[in-house]
Amino acid sequence: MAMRIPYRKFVNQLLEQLDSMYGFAIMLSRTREEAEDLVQQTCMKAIENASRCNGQGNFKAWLFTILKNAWLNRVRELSSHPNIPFDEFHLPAFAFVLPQEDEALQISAALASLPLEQREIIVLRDMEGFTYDEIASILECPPGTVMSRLHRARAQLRKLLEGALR
Amino acid sequence: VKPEAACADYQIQVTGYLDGELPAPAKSQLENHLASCETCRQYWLQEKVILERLRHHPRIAASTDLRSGIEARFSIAAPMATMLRSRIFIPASALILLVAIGIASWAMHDARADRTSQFTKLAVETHLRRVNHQLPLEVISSSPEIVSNWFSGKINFHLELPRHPKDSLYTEKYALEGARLVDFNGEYGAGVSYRMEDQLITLVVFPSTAVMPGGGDRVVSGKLIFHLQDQKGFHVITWADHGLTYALVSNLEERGQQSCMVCHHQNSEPRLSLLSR
Repeated sequence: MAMRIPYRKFVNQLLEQLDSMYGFAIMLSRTREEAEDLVQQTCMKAIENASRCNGQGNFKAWLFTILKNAWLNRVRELSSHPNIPFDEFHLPAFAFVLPQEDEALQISAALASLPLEQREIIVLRDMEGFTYDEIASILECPPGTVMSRLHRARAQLRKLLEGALR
Repeated sequence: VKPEAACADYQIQVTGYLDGELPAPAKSQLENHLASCETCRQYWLQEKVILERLRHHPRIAASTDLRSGIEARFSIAAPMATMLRSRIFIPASALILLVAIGIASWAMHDARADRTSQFTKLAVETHLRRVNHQLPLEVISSSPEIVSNWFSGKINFHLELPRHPKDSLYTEKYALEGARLVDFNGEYGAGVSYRMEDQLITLVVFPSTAVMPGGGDRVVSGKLIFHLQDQKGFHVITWADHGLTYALVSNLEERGQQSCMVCHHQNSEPRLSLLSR
């Protein structure tokens, strides 16, 4: 198991993406504790699989794919929990915690209240700037569906923010 | 194709157009359409506004704890990685690397458990100081409305205390005394004081983004998981609900479940079942 890129470079690249990974993780899980766990798991997986990373291609997309898979595993774990219904466990924390006073907070609350499929695609495209091909790869969906999913997500967001945006 | 159907298709394409992902022929068709269709042009402008806001939406940064924890983890792993790169002692160094990562993970897990434990400790200390008359209330009122409103603007979350009809079974059994701010790692939360059967009950509330409940016996009641433990002779119940984490401290009978009455006033009290320690 030999790394193809220098270890320090690998770590620096990973740390550069920490805020982005955390932003995506919190948008998926909607709680800080879950998001921190997801980022830690992603970093662990990344270093375990560093030999597969040759420094070519999109490093950030590779990390986001790991993170997304870690989240899917967590969802499966939560869904199989006999006492915590998945949809109840993932309450829209932002909606309750943040005061709804300014536009940014309203956007945060609206984003947090979107269904997972819409939340994740908006974060990937509109906040993290991934291309449609990269999004298709991270979400493991056909490239042709990215645009329509994104369209639905933005339409829903616009509906939620109706009147809030000047 | 009906005009509305054509517009619906064009509006999906607006998404790709704004993202620079629309192939050239489709792009040119859409531009022609936008030049002649006011509805779709309005749609394009609205989506553009949303997109602008999202692109400039403030990012949530990883906490310093998380960053430093991960940096520490990688600095532990660095010498092992050097050995791996040199392809010497590969099996041994791989094992050491995994052990190092495991130790660092355990340390991170410990930090989280520490925060939960500090939160429980804070709730017990607050209660103890209230019992000993060492901690005055900042708002004194038996009105849930007044106390809830007092917190508005002082804490970074919305807290609405339960309101029961006057002269109900529950208002006879317990009384709200008032509240104060409570500090946890530099963040303000709510400390609410109730009295029941001459016993004091303290409720401490923080956003779940600051701390999660844990420790003690896990008890499931409906959709919630409660953590029951005893500290300094008091019963402590912690749980999370709707984005907030609660700690209820009392000296009431059983393990303090009776104190749940301050919020849960259904005629049939929830049945608690012990899961695990």
